[in-house]
Amino acid sequence: MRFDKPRTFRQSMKWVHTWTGLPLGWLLFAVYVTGTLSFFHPEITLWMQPESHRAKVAETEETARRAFEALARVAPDAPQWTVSLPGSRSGVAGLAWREATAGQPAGGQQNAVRGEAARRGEGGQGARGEFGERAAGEGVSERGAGGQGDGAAPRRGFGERGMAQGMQARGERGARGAGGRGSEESDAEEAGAAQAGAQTPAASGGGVQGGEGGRGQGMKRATMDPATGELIEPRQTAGGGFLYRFHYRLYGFDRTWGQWIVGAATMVMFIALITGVVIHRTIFRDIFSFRPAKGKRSWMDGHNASSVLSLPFHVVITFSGLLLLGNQLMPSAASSAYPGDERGYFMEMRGMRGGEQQPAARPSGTPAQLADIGPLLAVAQERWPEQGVGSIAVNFPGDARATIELRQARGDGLANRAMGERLLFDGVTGAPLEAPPVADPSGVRATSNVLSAVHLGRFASPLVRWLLFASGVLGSVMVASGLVLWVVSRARDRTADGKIPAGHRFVEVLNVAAVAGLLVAIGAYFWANRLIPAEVAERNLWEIRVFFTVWSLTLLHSLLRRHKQAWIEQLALAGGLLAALPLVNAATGGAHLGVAFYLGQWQVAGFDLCALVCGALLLHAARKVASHVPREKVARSAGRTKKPAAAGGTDEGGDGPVPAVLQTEEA
Amino acid sequence: MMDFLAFALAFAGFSTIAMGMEGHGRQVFGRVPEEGRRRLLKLAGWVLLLLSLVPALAARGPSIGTVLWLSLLTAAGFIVGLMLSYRPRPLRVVGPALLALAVAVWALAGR
Amino acid sequence: MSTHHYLTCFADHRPVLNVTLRSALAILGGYGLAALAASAFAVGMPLPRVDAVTLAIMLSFIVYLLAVMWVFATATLLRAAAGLAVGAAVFGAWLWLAPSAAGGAA
Repeated sequence: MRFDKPRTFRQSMKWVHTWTGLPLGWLLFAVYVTGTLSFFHPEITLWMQPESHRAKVAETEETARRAFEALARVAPDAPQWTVSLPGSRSGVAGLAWREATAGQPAGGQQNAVRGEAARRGEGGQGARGEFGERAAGEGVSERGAGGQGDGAAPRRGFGERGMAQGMQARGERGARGAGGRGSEESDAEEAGAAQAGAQTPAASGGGVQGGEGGRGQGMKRATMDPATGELIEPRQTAGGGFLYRFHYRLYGFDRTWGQWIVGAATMVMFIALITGVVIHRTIFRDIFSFRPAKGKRSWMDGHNASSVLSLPFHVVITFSGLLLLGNQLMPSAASSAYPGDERGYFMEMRGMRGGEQQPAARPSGTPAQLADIGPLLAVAQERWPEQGVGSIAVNFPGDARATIELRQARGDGLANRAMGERLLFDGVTGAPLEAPPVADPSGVRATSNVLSAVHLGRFASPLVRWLLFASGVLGSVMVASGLVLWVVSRARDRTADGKIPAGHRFVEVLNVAAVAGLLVAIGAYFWANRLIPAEVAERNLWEIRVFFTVWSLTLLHSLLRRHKQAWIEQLALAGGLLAALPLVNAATGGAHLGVAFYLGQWQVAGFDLCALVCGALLLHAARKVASHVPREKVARSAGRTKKPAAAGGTDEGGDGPVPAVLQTEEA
Repeated sequence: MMDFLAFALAFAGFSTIAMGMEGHGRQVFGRVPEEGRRRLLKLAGWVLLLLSLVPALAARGPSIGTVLWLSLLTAAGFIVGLMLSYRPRPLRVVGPALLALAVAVWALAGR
Repeated sequence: MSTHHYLTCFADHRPVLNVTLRSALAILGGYGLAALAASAFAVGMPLPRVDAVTLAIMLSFIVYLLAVMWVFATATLLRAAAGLAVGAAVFGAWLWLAPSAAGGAA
């Protein structure tokens, strides 16, 4: 198609679909795959720290008592303790405490504690400090949802970056101190993110960690076995946090640049999605049509089916991805409505207002015995029979003005950013105190919260998480099949003069490396996690180096090998690496499947099983490609396709007069 | 329980809609069902799909319930699509059977 | 949609230049329009300020999408540019006429 010739609307959109999809499809595939894995990034981090696998399940009350004992041992003078209880996303308890000597303005403290994010499954605790730093005594607080990001943002020179980052940072990763430091690429976030879940310290590899190089703003944390109360010393790892951060800001770029690149790719994805729907005339009629072993037809069917079946997911994820980066991508909105005060928007968005200050709290200096946690937990359990308690924060433990705050485990109401309720008690008498009310968000903010909560997987239900994961896999198949389709649908041009045009070869090479190569690199990343000795310094960086080295090698490989060979070898390698992960896990000190089931380590068992299934599917795909005979050379019955979606079985009825659909001619 | 009921309704809905289509109807029944019957199947299928929203919302609330519903639709549609490609015939039975099972479990368990 | 009925310029008849200019219009012009729209929505919508900004960001991405589709769908380069210009004029006027941002409700 040419733009200087008459053409139809659909032809134009087809052109836009093809040529937006191709150049950014390689990047989008990586974003989709790592993003899909990020639905489980705390679980991945847990898997990558086999030291934590030995933890056994214990009763909540016992765990809480043991946690307090451990904290009283290691941090008797800390002004604040936080305990993240083990739950559906982690089998270990996360302890955190603020250093007694931290330069924390007293005014910020009480509120800061509220803003704290010690919620289960979320990056733990911290960041009050950042806020206090700027606004001592202002005590702006953010209820429950992850103080870090929010606390992180406000500061002088807080610009688009700060906003955008606060926007996503909020509580999702333990990004203490990330934004507070403005321009610097924050390694604190690295440390924090690697342990989202608060139970898996990554910073220094010891049983007790400070936030990397003192950047944790005075927060220290540790991991505890809930059944024994012993502190666990997990290995340093880049963990699921690396994949998570890669998916929205890549690696090795400045944060701002990484987010701009991914943001642009997301916009392109949005355009490709909508134009894809526009050109797909019979979107519902052929929703189920998959005709295997029909060459291009099958690829087209696979591409359509993977797109259409989870279209709502793709649209929501893409659009919410844009919104999560929205402050950075579209700064004009906030800067017009809040001239000279963009962070005013940011703070209002969080429900923070300068006027709503909380009175400052200070320790009394009079020692007192901390109240027994048992009855308080019973109150909470009665109040939240389904969710239970997610975390416990204690302010001024051992002081007469101590308070104990219980936070609900993550709920399922997304409109309020999935923030649970909390209960505040007097820390000495155990008497309930009144917690500040929470305002319901407006319709617009509720919508925005729902979208981001879905994108960030900020909800409790494991079923929904797995279903979204499956949709993410379909999305990855959609992008990959689109990339392959570009090559397949140009088969005629390619064979016309006996040799493959340079442009086509370029796409072929990148397709293999971007699709199969990435999967090889991810497999290698997990292997590296177990094969690099646990004591190696900077071992988290070594894991990342292995990832990128292997990925580069797959590019070299696909450059050197013939197209089909490259696909077969890399798919088989990726499949082999992933399928063997349960064995690697068992052999290198992790909880193998039997143990994991026995101990109720569902997170670890889930990882192993998922790796096994994905590996098997990739091996199957490799076999399919290997046995594939080009269409022109065979009768229509003998063909084979090479996509996971085409897995297994024989073609029984696809031959029927299925309505001729989607006759989208090539450009 | 309610999640399973929602899934069963979605699965039955998609398979019924597919049976009401010309091509897929032939795959399932061996011949194309006549016009009136196809229309009825499609209508019933859409009703089942909409009905599947009810248990999802009832059990999970509006926000996550909708998310759950949409992702259950994806899962159900994916399986129906796979069956149509590789094992279309049993689809006649599987949808209703699944639905009956889900309703029975729901009725017996209370919710 | 025959080209003959429309006012064309020389770039319309050069395929490579045509595509290049359309891409530039779509990417840069589309972004400019979306950013302007975001400002106009943020200031001009009768909502609390914080909600207006949030909604403005959402809508601006849809404006961007529509702008890109328009630029590639329309018959000639002049029409593509004119469409963006009309959009920009509308949003610009709205932004200009809207009550001053500083006075907007918090």
